[in-house]
Order: sequence, then structure tokens, then C-alpha cells
Amino acid sequence: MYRILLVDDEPNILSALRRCLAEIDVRELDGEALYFERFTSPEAAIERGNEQDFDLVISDYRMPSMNGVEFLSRLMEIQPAAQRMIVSGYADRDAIIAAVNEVQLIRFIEKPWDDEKLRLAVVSILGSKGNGTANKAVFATRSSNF
Amino acid sequence: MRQEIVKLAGADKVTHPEIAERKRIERSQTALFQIAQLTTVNISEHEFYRQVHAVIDELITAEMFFVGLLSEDRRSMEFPYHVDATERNQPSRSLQRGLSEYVIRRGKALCGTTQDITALVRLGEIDVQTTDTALVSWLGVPILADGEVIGLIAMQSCDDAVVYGPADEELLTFVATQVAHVLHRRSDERSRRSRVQLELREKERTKELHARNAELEIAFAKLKQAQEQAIRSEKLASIGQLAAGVAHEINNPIGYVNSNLGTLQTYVSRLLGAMETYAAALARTGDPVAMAEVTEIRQRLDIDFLAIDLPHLITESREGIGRVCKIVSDLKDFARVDRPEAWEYADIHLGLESTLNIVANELKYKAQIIKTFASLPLIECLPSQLNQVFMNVLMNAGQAITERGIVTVSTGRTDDSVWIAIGDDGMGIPEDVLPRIFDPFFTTKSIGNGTGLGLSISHGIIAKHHGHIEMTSVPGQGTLVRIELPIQQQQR
Repeated sequence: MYRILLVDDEPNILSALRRCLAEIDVRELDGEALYFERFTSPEAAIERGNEQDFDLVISDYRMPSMNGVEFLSRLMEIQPAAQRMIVSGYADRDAIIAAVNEVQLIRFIEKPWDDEKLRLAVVSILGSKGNGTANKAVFATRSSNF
Repeated sequence: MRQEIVKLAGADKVTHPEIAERKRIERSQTALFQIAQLTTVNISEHEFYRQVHAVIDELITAEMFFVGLLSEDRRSMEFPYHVDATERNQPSRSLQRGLSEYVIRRGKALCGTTQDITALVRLGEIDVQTTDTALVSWLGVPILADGEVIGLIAMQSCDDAVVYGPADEELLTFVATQVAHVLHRRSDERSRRSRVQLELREKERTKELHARNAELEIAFAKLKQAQEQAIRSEKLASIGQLAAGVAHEINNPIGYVNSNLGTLQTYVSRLLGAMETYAAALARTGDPVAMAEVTEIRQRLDIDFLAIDLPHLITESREGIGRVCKIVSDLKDFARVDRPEAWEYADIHLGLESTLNIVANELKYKAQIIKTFASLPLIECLPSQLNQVFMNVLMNAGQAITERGIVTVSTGRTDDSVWIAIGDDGMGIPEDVLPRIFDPFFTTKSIGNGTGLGLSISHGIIAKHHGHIEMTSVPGQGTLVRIELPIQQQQR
């Protein structure tokens, strides 16, 4: 079983993310099921992180009490092994760079996200987690394509 | 007058008083004629007085002779002509109680000897200071204009042999009438001349005003152009700021609606699949009661229609959300114009080629693409942003062509800049639309085909490069977009 921590101040985003990721075929994860925990407050998520280990953390960037990079860096202190990912509508270049550098972000995905791409990203992160090949940051910002 | 006659007679060596009198009358008439003549000659005022004086002097000894005129406010008097032993100009003076003022005050001539004047002094009519001890005889007549005293002509004798009489008074009165005529005419002339001058000046002023007006019109046109430019830039800048904020806020709801619709599609297809399976399973049991019940429900709730319509409903909703995503993404591109990005030296032709490849789908079935590329240096730019401009312009070119046409892409170089011209032989842009073509959200395309941001984004990008983008169009014949970019950025 893989445990995924979802953090976004917008509850509807949390539901949508869960629905989207729950559609991942367990066969793609070597039969391992996905288990989600959702938090609209980063502080509550950190508290939970003190009790429970997670394989993947997916966070929003812009949240009222603290931003995604702050949240992930605090979580990183508790759970360095958890993979970190940001899904945000706020695509500030500096924020992305900071995130990659400060919390070794593995993915940055912009809202609105493409369900299929998000699932592929999660599968590849979790799938490679075991054999330790997921230490290279993959930069998935939407850029001008030509 | 007797002494006068004697003097004149002496001069002419006339012995008989009657002959002398006749001569005097003749000469007096000649003098009157001469003075009347003078009024028709165009001479200066001073010269006129001088000649009048000369004529009078022929008849009457008038060594001291002056013309006094009241000022307009009638409070002072000036002396345009004045002759006496001192040969000094008499300064103008405020009215006092002199002999001249006495004449003016009464509006009647004064012809008097020292005794007469002394009597007037004693009566308090005049102050004695103004009189000269050497005065023997004094004659002054008012100059009247429309019955109003405007001044006087006066002469004075210090010679015991010259004492003025009624004949002299008559002559001087006539002269005063003539002077009044001349003054009147001159003031008419003056006002006419000043009117002419005024008209002339007015004409010059009008001409000047026309010239100034033309200048102002040009300046105004330039200002208006600058203002439009400023408004456009201002509009773009504020739209950019707005876009950045709005895009973020919109992306959250779009994010989950879009994702949920995808999930819903999966759920629905699963549910519909399950229903088919249930129906088949039920059919296999052959239970007529259960089957009738299910059929009744299917019909009552129109389940067959729902099964067909639901996927359409979801597909259409996803299309709608897709369109919103595109608008927000355009807005974000737009906002990105203000974001610092890496400048580099890049080959414009590479950008054009790759952009042409990307828009090939749009263009290839409609247009033949003719490329005329000159040899260009690398230019300092933001390549991906320029590509965005090329794409917008090429897409517009493709959309302008209704059936089949030609799209030309040419490049060239001037001293320190390069130009890219993209033309099409499509429908063109109506004249009234052309000025608004770079406005944000301005679009002539049908809903869903354009956000109206493409060209304003392009305009912003080119402005950021310190370049120019121009669009010329002839409705029905085509459109040409010309972009000019500096090879090097002076300041960014």
C-alpha cells in the first residue's frame, strides 16, 4: 500500500485529486493499493505527518497560512523519504525554482492539470520509489512549446 | 487794425487808405483761399499749421502764434503748434486760468489790449501770471467741432504798432473753422487708417492663426496617436496584472471541475456498463415479473435516453472547460509578457520554421506558403515569445483565407534591425476594425475560435523587444503584418 498525503486549502481540489488518482489501476503499482489522506490545513497535515509516514505528498503552492514550499520543507524535516510534488495554479517561476532547490521537488504540475498526465507522474514516482531511481527532479512546467 | 494797415501799406508803399483797404480785402480773400486749399493737401499737421501761420503772417503780424487743443478728457491742453521768441515747444499743461482757458471756457473769441486783459484779471476771470508784461494785443478764437470747443488759435503782439481788431478776429475765426475741418478729417483719416491697419493686422493674425492651427492639428494628431499608444500599453499592462491574479483564482475551480468531469466520464461508462450486465443477467433468469418491473422503470425514467445522452453531456461539458482552460492559459501567456526571462541571440528563421511546422495543420489544406528569407544575423530576443507572435499572426493569416490562398513569409534586414512580413490574400480587415486589432479581448472570430488576446499579446511582446508591429489590410484582398525588431537591445 502506498500512502499519499494531499494538501490544498480548497476541499474540492482534494476530492478531485483523490478521484483522479484513485482511478490508477493497481496493476500499474505492482498490485499495491493507494491510500489517501486529505488536509485543507498544512499545519494539520504536519501534525499527521508526525504520526504517520507517507510515500508521496502532493501540495498546493498558494495557501493562506503558509505556502507549499514552506509546508514541504517542514514536512521534509519529519519525513525526508516522502516524495514531494506541487500542484498549483500559481506558476511563478521563482517559486518553482525555490521549490526544486529547497525541497527537492520531484514534480511541479500546473492547475488545471491533465488527469492522465498526473496519474502517469504518480505511477512513475511511486513505481521508482522502491528501486531508488527517483532522485532526479523532473521539471514538468508547461512552457511555450515552440 | 489801423496800425496793421499802416504797416502793410508801408510795406507795399501804398499811400491811399481806400486802395490799401481794397488791397487788404483782396489779400485777405487770397489768404482765405490759400488756407482753404491747404486743408485739401496731404501734409503733416505741423506743416499745415506752419503754412497757415505763414499765410496769416502775410496779412497780420503774428510773431507769436499758437494752436492749443484740449485733451480728450478736457482737463489739459496741448500745443501742436507754437511760435514765439523763445522758439521753445510749449509743453502741454493742465487747464489753468489763463487767456487760452478763458477763450475755451466761454467758447467765444477774445480780442484785447493790455488794459482789457488787466480788467479781466481784476474781475478774476484770468490769473495775471499767465500774461506777459510785454503784451500789447492778444487775439484768440475757439476751434469748434460740432458746436463744442476743442481748442483755440491765438496770436499775440508785443509791438505797439500791432493791435488786433475785428477784421483780424474774423480772419482767425475763419482759419479756426478750417483747422476744425482739417482736424476732423484727420481724425477720420486716422480712424480709417487704423481700421485698415487693423484689418491688415487681422488678416495677418488670421493667417498666423491658420498656420498655428495647422501646427496644432498636427501636434494634436501626434498627441492622440501617442495617447492611443499609451492607453494601449496601459491597457495591456493592467490586463496583464489582472490576468495573473484571475488566472490563479480561476485555475482552482477549473482544476477540479475538469478533473471531476474526467472522473465522471469513467464512472458513468462503468455504471452504464454495469446496467447492461444487470439487464443481461436478468434476462438470463427469465423471471417475467422482475423483467417487467425493470422494463417499466427503464421506460418511466427514460433510462435508454440517459444512457445515450450522458456521455454527450459530459463530452460537451469537458469541451466547455477545455475552452476556459485555453482562455486562462492565453491569459497566463499574456501575463508572462511582463515576467523576466532569459534574453539570447537567436535565429529568427529557426523560430519561423518551427512555428510554421506547428501551424501546418491549420494552414496546409488552405494555403500555399511562400518563404522568402534573407540572410539575417542572430538577434537579441526572447525566442519563445517571438514564436508566439509568429504563431498568432500565422493563425490569423490562415483564418483569413476562406477557401484556398497564399501565405507569404518574408524577412529582411535594415541597418540595425530585421523585419518579418507575413501576408495573406484572405478576406482582409474592415477599416473600422483595424484600429482595434491590438486591443485585448477584441475578436471578430466566432465564439470559441479566438480569445481576442493573440494580437494584444503579440503587440506586448514586440513592444518589449523595442520593435514595431504594423498591420495593413485591404478588405477582400488581404492583410500584411510587418514586424520590425532591433538586432540588439539598447536597454531592456
